[in-house]
Amino acid sequence: MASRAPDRRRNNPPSHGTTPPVFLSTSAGDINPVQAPSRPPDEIRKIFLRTGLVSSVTGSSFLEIAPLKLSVSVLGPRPLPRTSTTPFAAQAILTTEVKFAPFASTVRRGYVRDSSERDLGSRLYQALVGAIRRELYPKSRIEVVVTILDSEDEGDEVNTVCIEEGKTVEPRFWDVGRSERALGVVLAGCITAASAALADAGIEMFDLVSGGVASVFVDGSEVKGKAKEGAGPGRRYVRDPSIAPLDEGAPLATCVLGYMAARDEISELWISGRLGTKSGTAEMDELVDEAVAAARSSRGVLNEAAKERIQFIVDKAQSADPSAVGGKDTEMTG
Amino acid sequence: MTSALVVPGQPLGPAHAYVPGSGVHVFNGQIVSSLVGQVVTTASTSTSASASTLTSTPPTISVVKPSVAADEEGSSATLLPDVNSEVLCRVTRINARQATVAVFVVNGRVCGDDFQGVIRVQDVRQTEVDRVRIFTSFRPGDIVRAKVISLGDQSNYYLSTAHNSLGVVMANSEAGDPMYPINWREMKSSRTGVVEERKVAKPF
Amino acid sequence: MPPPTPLSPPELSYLYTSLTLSPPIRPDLRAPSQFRPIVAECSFLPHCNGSARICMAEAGECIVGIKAEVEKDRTTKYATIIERDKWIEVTVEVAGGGASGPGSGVGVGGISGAERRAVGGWSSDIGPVLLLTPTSHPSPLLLSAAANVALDSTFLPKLTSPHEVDDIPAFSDDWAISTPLYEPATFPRPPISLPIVAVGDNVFLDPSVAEVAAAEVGLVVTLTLADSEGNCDLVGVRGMEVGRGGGKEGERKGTSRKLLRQMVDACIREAGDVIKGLGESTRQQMFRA
Repeated sequence: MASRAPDRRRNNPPSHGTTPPVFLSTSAGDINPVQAPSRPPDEIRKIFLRTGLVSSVTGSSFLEIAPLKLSVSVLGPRPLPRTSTTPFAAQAILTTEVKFAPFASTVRRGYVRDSSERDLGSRLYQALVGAIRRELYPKSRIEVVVTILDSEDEGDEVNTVCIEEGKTVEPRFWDVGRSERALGVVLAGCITAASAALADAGIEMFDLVSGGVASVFVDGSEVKGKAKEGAGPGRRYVRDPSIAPLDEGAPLATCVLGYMAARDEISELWISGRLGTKSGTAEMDELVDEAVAAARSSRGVLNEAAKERIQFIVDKAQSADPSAVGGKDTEMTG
Repeated sequence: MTSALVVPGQPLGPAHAYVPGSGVHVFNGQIVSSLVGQVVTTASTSTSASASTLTSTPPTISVVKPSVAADEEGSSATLLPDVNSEVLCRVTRINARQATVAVFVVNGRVCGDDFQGVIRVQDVRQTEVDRVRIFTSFRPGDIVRAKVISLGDQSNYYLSTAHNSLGVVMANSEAGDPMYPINWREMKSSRTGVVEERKVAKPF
Repeated sequence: MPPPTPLSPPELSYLYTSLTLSPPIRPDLRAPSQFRPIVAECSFLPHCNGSARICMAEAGECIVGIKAEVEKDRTTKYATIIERDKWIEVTVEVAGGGASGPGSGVGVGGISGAERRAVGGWSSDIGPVLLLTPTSHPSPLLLSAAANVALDSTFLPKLTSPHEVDDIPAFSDDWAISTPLYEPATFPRPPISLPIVAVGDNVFLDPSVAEVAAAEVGLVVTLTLADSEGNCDLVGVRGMEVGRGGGKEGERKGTSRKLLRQMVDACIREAGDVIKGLGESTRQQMFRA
């Protein structure tokens, strides 16, 4: 034989050689195309939400808000495990689990859930537990599993805000609300997507829960103009804030909530930051109202997403009906 | 009668105008959907017969989630046994006090996960309860038709076969041959003709 | 994950009814905004920079030790010197398995989130570690009051090396010139988390375990004292898991905005006095020592 026998002890390259893959444009130019600066502060980012993507579970959904991508699976109601230590459960037991994929952020996440993931899980539980008609599912458990596939960088203590390439920029403020905003957007996304997945699973609920986030910043432009002297520095409310910092204004507080629009009730609330209380709860109320408005906006998307798949099934059933009259073989092939 | 799709939380009408059916709940005097699906209103049968007296019962309103396919795989996923459900189950273990079973069909629909249940010795048949022996009623592997009498304790549903139509519907003999029922308490092997004792369900 | 229900359904229903009355009747006959008596001690652990022991009737006992540690700066690449002196990282560890009660993590989480904002005046990477050992059902108030007193009584050794030098910092051994983490009479003071629950139209501060089990909604409101007049700043609000034990079906599933306002308002009214009271007792004890 002319050709030599291949070396079996090593991984051999293909005989015809390879060409390295060439990726188009990984330049810094389009690293951050998501936050269009033109978005008005009272408008939330576009949401992509679809249900029924995982066929092996009872209900599922996939959600995308700019860089955030997450998928939710709902399992059950299924019987409690035989080893369960809970006594007779007259209501379904809800468990929630939130896990970042190892590749979901710039810093690699471990496979074991860390404290922030457990915390997100318990908040999601709090947001959903009241909405589910658990008394209809005795002796069973409903599991909600969220996998976050991609997220905006949480900014691990590093304020890359103030740094631009090659030159030191004088920081105007320390962006303290960064990680709160990041977690808030993730939690709101989890709540909205989990509601869609529960609806897809056909689990009865009192109302759909949608998530909303709002942040309040010091309004730098207004301070300069001195439009409201005496009323303190102006405040700027931003619904669905991005992690990327705003041009002016130090962050004051972030509010995340799970909101049941049909009942006007807040099932989960998390405010972090600093709000004055000289005028009672007025500052908090304004922030909560903004977050509620954000949740109302995402509720519209949630409603449509929840209906979308059912509508598809209904349409299919209706289009199948006349063909059933026409001939039987069409049904057989289907 | 069906109409457009609704989502959970969507009000469907005042509570006094309808009788709430499945998939809905009442909140603030309103019938509210608790599922994504189609609204189905059915006029109550009694009114149509008695030609609308003033005290006629209002129509029943419910929300139904259309199933994905004809085999109803999707909708049966949220199926749970309830009291009085008729179930099919497979006997997994027996002892002198009870037979442990795995429920796999509830009200004629296959469920996603098996539910564990027990048929206690006093629930096997209606008469002569004291003389019932589990070992002459069931064997592991038998397929049993039973009724749920209680949601039971933390792990088991309590089932009963105390009715003529309930009991073993399919069984293999000790040798492993299929058997057919010959009377209410005996089954016969189709190959060897050996007769074994069972609590047999009335076939028809 | 559901909170333990120490009471039977009839007991919960009875409790629920008595709490929804106007005026409500609490099992221990407290007023709705009245706290349980607290015993607070501070700086009794010699190896800690700050420590506190809080005892509350029924809620048990909690010991907090704060130990400063010098850590290697992990954020070397960017932002090495930018205003870092305003920041101290606080890590919270809850020791013992008894921390599984309703809302146990809440109070601590509220502290750690708020703390970073409130701490000022230290100029190196110091991570105080809180070790909490609650004995029974830890109320968020118990944990946060203990953390509050411990932080308030924390003294850190004086830094002797200049902090521009990118090296391990050196500290003075002289305890007499140590600096308090929170300068006395400066603001903000260490924050405190107040648990509050709502039953019907009534709100209750510092709920007992049974009241949490019967409540419909719960919040943990974290506040810090902003000036000497007793004004507070709101630094955090979180939902607290409650039992929803006594209510009927189809009733409240979340907080309405009106109720939310009412609950936070009640906390704001009381928080100033609570923080001042704890601060005063801390100062007295520190002075005596």
